[in-house]
Amino acid sequence: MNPVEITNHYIRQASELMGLGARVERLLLSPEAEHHVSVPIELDNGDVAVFSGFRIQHNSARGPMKGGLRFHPTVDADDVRALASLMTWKTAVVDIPYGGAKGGVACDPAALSIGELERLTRKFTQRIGLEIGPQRDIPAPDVNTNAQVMAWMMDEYSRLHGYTPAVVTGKPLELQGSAGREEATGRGVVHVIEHALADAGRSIDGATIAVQGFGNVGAHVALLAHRLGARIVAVSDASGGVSRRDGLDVPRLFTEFAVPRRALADYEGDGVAGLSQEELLTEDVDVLVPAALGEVLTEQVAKDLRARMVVEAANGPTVPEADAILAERGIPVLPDILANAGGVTVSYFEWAQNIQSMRWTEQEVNQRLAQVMLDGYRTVRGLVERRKLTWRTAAYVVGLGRVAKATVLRGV
Amino acid sequence: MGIDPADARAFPAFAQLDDRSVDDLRARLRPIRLGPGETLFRQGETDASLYLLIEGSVDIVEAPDDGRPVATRRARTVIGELGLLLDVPRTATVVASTDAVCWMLTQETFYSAIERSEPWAARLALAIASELAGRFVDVSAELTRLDADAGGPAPKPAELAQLRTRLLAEWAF
Repeated sequence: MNPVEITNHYIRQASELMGLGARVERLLLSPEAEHHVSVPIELDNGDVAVFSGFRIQHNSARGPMKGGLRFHPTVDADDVRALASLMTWKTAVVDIPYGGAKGGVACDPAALSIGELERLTRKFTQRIGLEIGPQRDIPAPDVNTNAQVMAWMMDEYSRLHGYTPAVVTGKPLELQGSAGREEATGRGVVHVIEHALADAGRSIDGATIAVQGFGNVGAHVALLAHRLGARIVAVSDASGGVSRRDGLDVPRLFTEFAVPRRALADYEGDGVAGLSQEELLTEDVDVLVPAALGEVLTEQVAKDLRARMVVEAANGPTVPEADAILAERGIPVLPDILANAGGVTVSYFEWAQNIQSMRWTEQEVNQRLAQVMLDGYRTVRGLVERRKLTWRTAAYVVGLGRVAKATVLRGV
Repeated sequence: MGIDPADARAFPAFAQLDDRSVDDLRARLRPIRLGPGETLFRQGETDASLYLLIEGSVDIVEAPDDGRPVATRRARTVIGELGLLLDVPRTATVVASTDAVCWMLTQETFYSAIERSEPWAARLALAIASELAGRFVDVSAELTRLDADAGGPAPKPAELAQLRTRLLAEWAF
């Protein structure tokens, strides 16, 4: 199954359970609009290059559409469509007033100079300039895009519309970005871990956690959980992983490896053993956090898994077959659309601050984030308990239900 | 087979006629008896006579004949008034659905009685006008109904309205 099929598989599961019917299901699955643009720029050597760009707007029933913009050679309409739909359900699960969208430009940013990247970003912004806007569709950073790219987009959009920081989120703090945005996804994941452990009669203090992926999200999950007393017993990145039964030195890993993006395989320390990414997934831990790639929890991994629970920080790390096995084994899987919604939630806070020309303190942002995650967690837990659903199905029911309600209340 | 004056007066149009007029009328009518399934006249025939249905009931059947009558007429009404007035071929077939008795009046006889201002002829003309007026009212109502239906498909439970009710009731969170 590709990402679209996986997302749609879970949606259909929820839709069937709710008895939405084939016609309404089709209405909710179909993107509202798909913008496919060509993005020509002049390269530094004087050649002209034309890139393919997308912005797919999935659903706006609950508000302006929100979703990242990625620069990657493999960007195609299928991926972007699936990720756009995922945003619709994610924003609904945590009940922030947004719909879902996603965009991308098929390019290899590593092969582009900074000037070329800026021209590409500005041209793409012109191409989709009429389709985005603070009350229409609000892009954010994603794979290979960052605060600088958002700054260029905001600047290009503002040329036509006047100063409009609310047109994108994930901006630099100097350009009305929000405090707390950087670690927001990881912080949200940690909130979910805390609540799930508490419900299991445990505390995050002293719990053992393995984190696959040591990028922005994985590293922040490890760091924040460590600060709350968790023992991070294994982390890995594309180069491999490291483990230590008594807990790794997370602050050192964070500053010396995550921040400068050094390979974890180079890490050495007392009692530290190497392990592969795959081995990490079957470590004996309280919580497994896949925080890197999609589809890493395969059927086989699900059979061998020894963690007491899985919290999905990455998008789509569990294939449906594995999901079924874990459900059968009674291992809860806190799904991506709930667990990693912290990022889009603080994006929403950034937008809200921009709209009001206000700034919140980091403490205020974190406090509000904690509340949004708790509310989302409790809502999903309510369905898990009352209807005896898996966490994933319950989360999709909440997401789908809120979008369906907004749709029927507004009228087709 | 003669026509009883009481039978003639039982027909509402003739209830108030004096004896002489009733006799006049009776002299001009020819009684016809039909058994169930027997045909009074067929669609397309060029007979312009008028029939007074005195007893029983008849079905009005239009081609293509699928066996279902478009209407049923019961005793003490007129039949064949369109052929009489418009001089057109019969627009439908009339078949007795029970034992029935009709009195036939030819077009010629009726028109000449009108010319002579015979009281029964005026009464009969009024009865035909009433019959047509009643049917006009029915047709108007039917047109109004058809017009409303033309606004969209026949009403069925709206999917979204049903869903809204169900979602808000069963999936509150």
